[in-house]
Amino acid sequence: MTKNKADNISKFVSEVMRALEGRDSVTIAELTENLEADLRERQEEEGDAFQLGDSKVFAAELLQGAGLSGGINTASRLQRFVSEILWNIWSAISAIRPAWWVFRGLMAYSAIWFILLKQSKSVPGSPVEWLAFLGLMFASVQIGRANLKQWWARLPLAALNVLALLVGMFWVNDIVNVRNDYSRLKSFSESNLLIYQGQPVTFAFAYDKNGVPLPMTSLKTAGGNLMFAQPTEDALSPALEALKGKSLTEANWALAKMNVTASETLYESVPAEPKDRVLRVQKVSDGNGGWVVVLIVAN
Amino acid sequence: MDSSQLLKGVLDTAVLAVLENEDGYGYDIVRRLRESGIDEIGDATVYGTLRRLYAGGLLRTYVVPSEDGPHRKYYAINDEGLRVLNGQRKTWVTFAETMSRLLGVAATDSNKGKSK
Repeated sequence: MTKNKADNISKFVSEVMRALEGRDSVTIAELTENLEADLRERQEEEGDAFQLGDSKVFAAELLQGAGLSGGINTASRLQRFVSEILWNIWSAISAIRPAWWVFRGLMAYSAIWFILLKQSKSVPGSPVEWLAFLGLMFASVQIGRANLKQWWARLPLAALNVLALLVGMFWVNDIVNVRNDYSRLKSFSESNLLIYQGQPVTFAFAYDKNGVPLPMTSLKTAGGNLMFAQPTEDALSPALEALKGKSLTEANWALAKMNVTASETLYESVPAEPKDRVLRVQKVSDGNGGWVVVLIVAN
Repeated sequence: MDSSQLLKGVLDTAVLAVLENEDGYGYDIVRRLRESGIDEIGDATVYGTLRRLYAGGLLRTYVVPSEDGPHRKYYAINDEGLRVLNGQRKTWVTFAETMSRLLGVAATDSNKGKSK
């Protein structure tokens, strides 16, 4: 086929698509899919006898054959623009459908595991579990590829998809929680904080056998490593000043990092300030020779 | 009589019948229809019909990769399509018998009229 004839076919297909403008993009794509290849094939078979004809008549015949009412190219520019955007969104969604089929299989495995054994599990362990896992994934992909059209098949499938989406939300939430826990533990392990049952210790007092508080400035391990120390007042002052204007969470976190173990929070009603904003920082005696940092926070 | 109008009425059945024998892509189906004697229907009408039958749940599609050109979308008749085709087959036989009988009588009458 000469380049000129090939160009004519490309131009003809473009004209047909233009004549179909106003239809939704999915319809246009379905009606003109492989059209250029078909016309080229026909051109090669018929040679010089082949005639392309009128693109508008061709487009009208396409619509009539497809049982679509209305004429050609009647949509406004806005409708065509919206249609194009929808088509692009649909194309993007269609492109990731196989990934969804695999994910749906994974969710089916997680859901069945949870229903049968009341346990959360997403990665198989034994060969039988792997078999079930791969079987469900294969089934999900096959169902997706089947592209079911009948309503009685699509209805339960839609319900299953919604179910998979819900399970997926819990699944993602679990992953996020695990990641957050891991980040917190990592942060704790890298800090000088004293941790008890997963939480930073903000108060630590030592007592003798009679229950009398013992003066204490630091805690050390049996090997002599410092676990916990009261900061000196001189070093603390500028750092405490810097807490003003921070949120309560940020301030508490900063105090924990400074190894300040004794702190209290007082709330003060200041409508002009955002809630939980640190307004002032004070140091007051605890009555045992130590002191407590008091955060005055907007309520 | 304009046979293209008659063909439009039975094009769905013709397309389903072509696909009952073998799956095919757009132009392949047009060609097989023409080879079977249906040559008064435009390509576009057949393409539109394929899309309609597919949307109606009578056909399924799959893509066959091609090294020479673009991938081809093949149409295949599904169980629902076969069920509809079998129904249409029975309807056609009854209709054709009725029309043949009717036209046979009419033709005889016409000949009689001419011979008078």
